[in-house]
Amino acid sequence: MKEYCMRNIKTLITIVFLSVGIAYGENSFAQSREYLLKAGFLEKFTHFIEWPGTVSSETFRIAVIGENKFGNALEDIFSKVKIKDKTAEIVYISSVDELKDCMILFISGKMDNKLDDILNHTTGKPILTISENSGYGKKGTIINMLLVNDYIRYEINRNALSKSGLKMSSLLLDSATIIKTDE
Amino acid sequence: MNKLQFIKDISIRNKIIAIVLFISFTVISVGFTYIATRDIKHSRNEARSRLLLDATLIGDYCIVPLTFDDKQQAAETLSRLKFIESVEAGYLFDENGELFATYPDSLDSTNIPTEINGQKAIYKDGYFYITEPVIFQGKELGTLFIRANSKELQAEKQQLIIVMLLLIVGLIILSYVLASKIQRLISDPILKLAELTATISTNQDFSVQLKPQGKDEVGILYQQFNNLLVKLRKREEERDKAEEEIRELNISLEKKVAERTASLEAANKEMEAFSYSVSHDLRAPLRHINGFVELLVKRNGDQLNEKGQHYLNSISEASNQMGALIDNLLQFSRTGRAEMRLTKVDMNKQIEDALTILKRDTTGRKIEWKIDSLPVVLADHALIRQVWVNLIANAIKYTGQRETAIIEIGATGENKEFVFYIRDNGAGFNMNYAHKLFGVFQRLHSNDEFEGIGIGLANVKQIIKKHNGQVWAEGEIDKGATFYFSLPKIQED
Repeated sequence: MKEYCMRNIKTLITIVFLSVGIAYGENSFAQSREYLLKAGFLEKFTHFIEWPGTVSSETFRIAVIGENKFGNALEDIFSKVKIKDKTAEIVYISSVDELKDCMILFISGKMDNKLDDILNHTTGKPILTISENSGYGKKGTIINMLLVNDYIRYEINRNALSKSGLKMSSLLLDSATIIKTDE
Repeated sequence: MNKLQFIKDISIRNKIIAIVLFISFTVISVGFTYIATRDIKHSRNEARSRLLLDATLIGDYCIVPLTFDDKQQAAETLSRLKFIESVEAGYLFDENGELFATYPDSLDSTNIPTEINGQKAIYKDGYFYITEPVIFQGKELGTLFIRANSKELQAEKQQLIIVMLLLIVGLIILSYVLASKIQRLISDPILKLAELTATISTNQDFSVQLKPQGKDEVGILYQQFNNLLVKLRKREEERDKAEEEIRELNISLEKKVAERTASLEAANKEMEAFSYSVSHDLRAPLRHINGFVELLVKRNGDQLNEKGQHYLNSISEASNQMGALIDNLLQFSRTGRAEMRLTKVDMNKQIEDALTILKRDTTGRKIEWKIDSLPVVLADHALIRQVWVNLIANAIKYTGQRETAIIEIGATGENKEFVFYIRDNGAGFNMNYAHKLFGVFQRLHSNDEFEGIGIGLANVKQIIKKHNGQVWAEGEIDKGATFYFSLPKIQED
């Protein structure tokens, strides 16, 4: 397990450096780096979260809704790493109707119009919703990643978390900004 | 004075107190040292496990920053170490052993601790060094290293020592108070005994008795001391009784002696008076006899035949002899009563005078005189001359049968007195009768051998005694005699 993880991390680091190297000459360097980090974060979050009950599907499905800014980063990471002893499967969707047996929903970019609809679908289900937009955490996504001074910080909505039935490690909770919505 | 003597001179009371204090101090010190050591060790262990727990907690907080490779967050997490006052430095290393974050931020990153030695927690030179691996889901993400001082521990230790010292002082004072009260149980009877013995030896009063104590050693001592006192008192009583008896005996003896002396003196005086009056009264009839014998020879001497004249001669001779006898008796009794007039007397002159007086006795005799030079003494002039006359006359008389008489006179100076002697080569005497020599009418030779009336030596003895001297004699039959007398030396003031 340990060895496996080590290899995993090393791969990640290699990818990060490779990507950094490739992206160096491009204008979109900053953005690529940001999403490489975010992809890594996404994988790391899974270590601190327990999904309730048995998952019927054979794969661990991760859905990305909206524009895919990751490129192949997610596939690269999850092709070598198993989540909860399962192979990850990444799907890119455009509608919440396609949310089927998803464990993680990444809400990419700004989706002010669709957010309420998405959240209506996910709230109360064991789906880890991750957004990346200021204010989305308050609106009801479980984790909201923010870029602060070139560092990625994240907010966690306590209410959304408890409604989802997911179990999150207090360590992660301690290192996040906690949002409490009055509902 | 040696050390032991110094200890011996301390009173029993102080000795007991000193022993109790010494024992208390030793026991308390040992006990307290044990407790303090255990307490300090315990505190140290506690501090160490507390630090370990803290390190584990902080380490847990480091999981997320390490996972997300977030150094800033790691620094923030480490900054929580500030809530643990004793922590001076914290280092977080990642899984490759690279320094990931430090506390405080400003910490010199070149001075990275190396002496971890693989031990989780060690205490060295007043510092705790804690090494805590950061493990998440079985994977070691990094290592947390903490250095903490032990100021709190030191302060605690100091406080503990102060409290212990105060306690020791308090307990020693308590021991002293208790010891000085309780030691009386032992020391009081002994001190009382010492005091009593002192009183007894100064007052010599053995009639005291000690109040009996318990049956311990001191009690036995008291009992024995009482027995001793009883015996001493008994002995003293016996001694007093014996002394009283001796005193009474002495008194009665002195009384008897005084009585005897008085009666003796009275008898002596009576005798002297009697002999004076007798000799005086005897002179008158003797003068008559002599007078009429002379008249008879003058008037009728021619008418008497040869036989008649021989009778008259015998009467005259006997009468003369009686006259001499009376003279001597008178002189003897006078000497007894005579007042002494002491002057410085040159003994050489006395010998000369005596020889002049005795010139008649030496005519026709062959006498070899050996006379030493004699000292000057303090004496009655006339009486001393009488002594020499008597002694020399004696010597001349008793050497009468020697062809050549040798008479030596001399003196020796003893400590406080002169001893004079006169030695002759005459008839001598038997030493067995030496004590009779100086008695009145005591004669060792018959009148046929040597003429004499036996008063001369008695007279000598009387005179020398009056001068506080002594008389004695040595002799052997046919080998001569030596007469000695002593006189005190003149005390030069």
